[in-house]
Amino acid sequence: MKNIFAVLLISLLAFSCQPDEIPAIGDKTDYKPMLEGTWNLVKFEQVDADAESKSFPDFATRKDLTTVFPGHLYTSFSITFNADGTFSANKGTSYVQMMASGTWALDDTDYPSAIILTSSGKTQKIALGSLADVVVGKVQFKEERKQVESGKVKIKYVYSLTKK
Amino acid sequence: MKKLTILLIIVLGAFGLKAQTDVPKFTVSPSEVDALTEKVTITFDVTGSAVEGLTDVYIWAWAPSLSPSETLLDYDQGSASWGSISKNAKLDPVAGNPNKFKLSLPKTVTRNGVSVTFNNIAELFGVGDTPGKIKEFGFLLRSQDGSKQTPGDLKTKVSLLPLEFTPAYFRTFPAKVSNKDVVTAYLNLSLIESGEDQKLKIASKITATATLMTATGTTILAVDKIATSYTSEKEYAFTFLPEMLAAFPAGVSLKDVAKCKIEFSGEVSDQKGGVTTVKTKAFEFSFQSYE
Repeated sequence: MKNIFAVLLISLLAFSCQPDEIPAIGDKTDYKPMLEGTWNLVKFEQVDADAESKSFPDFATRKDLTTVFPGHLYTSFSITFNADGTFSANKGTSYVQMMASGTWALDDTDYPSAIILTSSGKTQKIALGSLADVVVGKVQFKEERKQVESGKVKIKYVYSLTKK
Repeated sequence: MKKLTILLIIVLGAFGLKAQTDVPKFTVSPSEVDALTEKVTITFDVTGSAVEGLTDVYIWAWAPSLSPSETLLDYDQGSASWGSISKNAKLDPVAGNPNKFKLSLPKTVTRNGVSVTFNNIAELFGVGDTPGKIKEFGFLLRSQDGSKQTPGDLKTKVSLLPLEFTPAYFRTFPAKVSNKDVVTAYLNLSLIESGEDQKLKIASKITATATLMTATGTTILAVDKIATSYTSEKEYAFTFLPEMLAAFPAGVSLKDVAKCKIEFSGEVSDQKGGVTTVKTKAFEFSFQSYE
């Protein structure tokens, strides 16, 4: 009886040492429906990439351009991504350089890093910042200006948008 | 006839003298470098300079902010001596062009019997551990014996991007921009330079004039009386987009804009109620090629 009890105990211990079953991973996030809708530009910033890399003071690294041109506020810009794959941008009175209308697509449906705008055979790549806040209606576009000969990023523009 | 010959000799002599004093043209690649930038190449064109025609051209370079100021290329040990420049200072010829020479980093040389590699400009001047000390360096090109040389006195110099932020009398943000970028120009009157009209320190109603120019300095357009704002950093500032500064003249486009000149001016009232306009010098900068 004692032996049977010992075998039972060992068996129970052995079973309890089995690794837990790995839980099923949820479905990949589909960002496209989250990006659909109208986005308003709420902040437009310029970053000196050299100054940023050298940890210069904030005033010498980043400048908020949102309202820097009276009568040409960057907040007058908005863009609408439609579910049918078309888009329309309204630059308002701002100096934002973006295609006015055409089609839009993500560069990678599983792990998007950019939105590709296409119009009349021409494309414009809009780099995306973190998509963590898309679910709460916030997204960032990024534009990088690179030195021709070295390819190094010298100036960055950050567009912060919120969903209408 | 004799007078004509003498006149001709004088004129030719004057032109010959000018050729002797021409400064060499040079390009730095990449165009923007700091003391720690690697893979830097400086290409010199000695056409019309005092060292044109030499097969061996040497560089004598110095950084005014350092002591000793000369580059380590110029001497093998001890201190630099004009009369005995090191063979390490000899520039590399550019194949197929006898008037062009170059200095490329990294550069490996033998100093005092030891192989040394200079990876960047800071190391070239012996301040690899304290690169912030070097802001610029001047150079002249010379023959080995020093009998021929291009002008000194910083007539030819390379300015480096700062490694640390240093407040300045004039600056732009970003520090380097292309003609397609938004530019903000700043004037810090608390750092006014000695050669400036010191009345600027008490001037009010500070405005600016912005001039866009071609690569040869021809004015494309100028806009004056641009309002400035006073920032939390106690600088006068204004922001502009070159393309939107004003309408371009017919036949000229943004592609032609290579340089920009900024001047600030202000008003000073005297005791009799009169108003005098005071101006800063012109601050000029070149636009970069960004894509």
